Amino acid sequence: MEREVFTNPLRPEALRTGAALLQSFAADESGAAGRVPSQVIYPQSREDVQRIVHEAIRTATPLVPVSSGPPRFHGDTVPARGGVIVDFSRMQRVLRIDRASRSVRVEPGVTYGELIPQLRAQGLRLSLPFLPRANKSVVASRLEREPTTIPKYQYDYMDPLLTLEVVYGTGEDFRTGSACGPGTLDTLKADLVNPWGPGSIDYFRLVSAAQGTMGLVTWAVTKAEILPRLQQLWFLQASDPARLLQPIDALLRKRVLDECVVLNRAALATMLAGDGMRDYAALARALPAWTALLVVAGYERRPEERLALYAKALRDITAAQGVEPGRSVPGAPGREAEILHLLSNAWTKSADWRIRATGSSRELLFIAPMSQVPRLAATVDDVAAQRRISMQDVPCYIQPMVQGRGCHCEFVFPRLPTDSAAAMELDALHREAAAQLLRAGAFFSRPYGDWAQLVYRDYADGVAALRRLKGVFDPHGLFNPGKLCF
Amino acid sequence: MNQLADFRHTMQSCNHCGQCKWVLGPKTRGYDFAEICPIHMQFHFDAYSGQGLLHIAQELLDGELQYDPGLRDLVYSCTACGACDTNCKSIRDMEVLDTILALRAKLVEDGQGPMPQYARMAEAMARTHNIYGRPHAERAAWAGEPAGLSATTSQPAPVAYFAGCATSYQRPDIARNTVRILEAAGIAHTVLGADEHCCGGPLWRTGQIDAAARQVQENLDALQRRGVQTIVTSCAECFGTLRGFYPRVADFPFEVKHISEIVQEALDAGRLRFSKPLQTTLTWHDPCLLGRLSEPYVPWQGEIKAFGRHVPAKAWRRGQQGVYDAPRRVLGAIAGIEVVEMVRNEENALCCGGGGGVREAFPEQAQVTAAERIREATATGADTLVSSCPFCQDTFEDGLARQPGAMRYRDFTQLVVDAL
Repeated sequence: MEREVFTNPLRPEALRTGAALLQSFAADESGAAGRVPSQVIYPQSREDVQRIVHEAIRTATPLVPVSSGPPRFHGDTVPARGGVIVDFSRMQRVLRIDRASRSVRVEPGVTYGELIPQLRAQGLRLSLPFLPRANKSVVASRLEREPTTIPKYQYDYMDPLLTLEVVYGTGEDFRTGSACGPGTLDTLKADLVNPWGPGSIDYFRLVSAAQGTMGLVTWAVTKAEILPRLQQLWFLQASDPARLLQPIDALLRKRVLDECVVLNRAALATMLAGDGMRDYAALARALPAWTALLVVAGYERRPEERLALYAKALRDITAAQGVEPGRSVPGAPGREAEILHLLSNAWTKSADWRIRATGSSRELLFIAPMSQVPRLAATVDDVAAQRRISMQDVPCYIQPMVQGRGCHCEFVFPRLPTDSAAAMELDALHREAAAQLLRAGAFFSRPYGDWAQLVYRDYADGVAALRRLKGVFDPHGLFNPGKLCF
Repeated sequence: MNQLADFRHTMQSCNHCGQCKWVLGPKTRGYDFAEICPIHMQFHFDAYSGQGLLHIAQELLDGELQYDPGLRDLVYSCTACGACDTNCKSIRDMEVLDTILALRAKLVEDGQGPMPQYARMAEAMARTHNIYGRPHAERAAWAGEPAGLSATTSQPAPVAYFAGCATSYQRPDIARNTVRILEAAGIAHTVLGADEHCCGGPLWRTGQIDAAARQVQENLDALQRRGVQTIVTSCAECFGTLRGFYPRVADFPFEVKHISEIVQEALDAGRLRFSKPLQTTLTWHDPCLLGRLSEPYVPWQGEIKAFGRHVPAKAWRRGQQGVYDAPRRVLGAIAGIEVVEMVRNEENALCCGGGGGVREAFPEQAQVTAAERIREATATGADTLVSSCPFCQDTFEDGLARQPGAMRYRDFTQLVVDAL
């Protein structure tokens, strides 16, 4: 029997089939193998999403959700088995900014570039990932567990994601946490900030980092924080990241820091370089091997006093650890205000900071306890050395998470799109380093692409359980097939 | 794993989420009765919570905090009720209460603890083997006249009733009722009589580990001499101590049962029947050491790997396997009794306020918590508050004396005997 063709269940303008557009979804920076989707459909409401799911059920069509604009890095939006791209970029409403509960409810098409100024106008801010690109979906970023730069506000690896509305593979909609009801959103008394439940199951964990395989999120509530009145940027420098992580651990334990991120010289130079990266080389020569960017802040009540107190704590604690903090960026004095601006806004110097050097890049990212990060980072260096790949211009950033209880570590390997031999060599490094990291204790909380096989290979019981769950929430296997262990 | 330094992983894993202060979200029914930490709900500062005590422990270990009397009082203001532990473990693998108890032990080891009241108690116990300093010869007086408990002997038997200090000296009716229940159920049993020493719980929970371990050894010797296999208690403190402390310091090959479990088994087997109705609406207070802290302790040695993975796997005590069903089922089986539930129940029950030595050292603090628990009990519409812990009974009766007419307190065994 011939398979029925997915037919647009929405308005005519909600569907696009241009060849160039379809082709743009068939690959990304990860080099993941994929197929060209047959259509791209743009829902504008939950009801639209439900109609799309029902049509997909009728026609057994895979659906691949996409919310952010390009470039994309992890292969999670590349259709492994073809199908229809569900592009949420037209679901752009900021549904509610709740200053009292310090939260914001947004549709998946709302980007960092759009939301940051709207929150700022109300005296709020987001805890941002490191230099998020302007067209990155806030909801997707939160769902992907992108680490944020203020670990002080993170109490769980799922933070700052709160409640969600999801459409499952049956076409049914579902709200998680305190958004679950009873009643409608209009009659609910809950503030939608408690992410847990309903019942004893934290449903929001099922869709987080699931790469769109468990459900389609139609809005999410994420934490917002009070906008500081005063901020002070401090720097630590060292030749070895371990020398920075120890004082940062102590500072986070005392809850002194707001933003806090550790960069190697290539990452900081990439961040600071001007148009066309002309001054990159000079910056990279001048900057220390590793730099920690640390921010202390004062808020609405007695900001000067608070800032002074926290700055003193920062000086005292780092001094006790034998590290000297500075107010001027080592190797690039006078750029402090710019750094603070970059840390507080969406990235606009290029499409994404990761592809700044060569126009393309490959990421290697994992999480680990803070004490293990230097050893694991050295593992990547060792693999690169064995393969005679220079790490000199490979940006690396270490992002403490959950108040320093863990760290995200990310290497960004620049890649020349035209050099296929180098790209193959890089792919091999990527695979081998991931395998060695996994053996050495790194945790791949976001197992993209090839990593899924590595992670799930020795986890038969977990895979069986995940597949049973997938069968419950996506019984027709429509959502992004071929990803993770599905 | 009982030294403070053994719990570094727990201290370092705490991420200030605050779950140790609150009943887990999905189990709450609103803001009222959602708080779970007796000291945090009273003093509000983070230092007064599981979270704060973990940080204090780490700072002490790291030499960043120095001892002073305020610190000692803070550490001993905790009722060691374990609510922080249970709620933390609902989302993480950490040993919050064991860290707090190890912190107390460190204070004692460093000559900074315990509170003077507990030090005096330990001195008395060394002489008299009970927490009150009363003559040891009076310990088994509850079994004599006028009780007429002819079956009460100290002869060898597979089942032993362990009465405990508070029951033996302060609440002899509970002991007599327990023996009456055992007799009615046809369970041959022995009592330890003059060989029974304090279970050691009050010493363990105030950090006096060596003194507590000495009591353990005395009791184990007495139990083994009588060929005991199953120990029955009517006191939650003894019950939780036997299950939770004894395996830490000795081989402990005994089964421990609470009297409510014995009654339930006898009812199910038809060996016991209730014949008298009791017209009352009651609410059951889960004592900490009968509920969330009563799961058997299983020693663990191994390696804690990244993100807290314990190798080999550890048998976590998460508080969900406490004695919850038996007392409710037994009381519900008595004609005329309606059992109504408080919001905070089972593993999320609020402490009476007097645990961990707080009633002795900080009586007013204990009464604030007791008043809150009585408020919760009253809100159910019950006329009777029932439990099975003489220490809870002391605290609640102090509290109820300040609220005449609010409700009355009854021990579990009294209701069972009244219904036989």
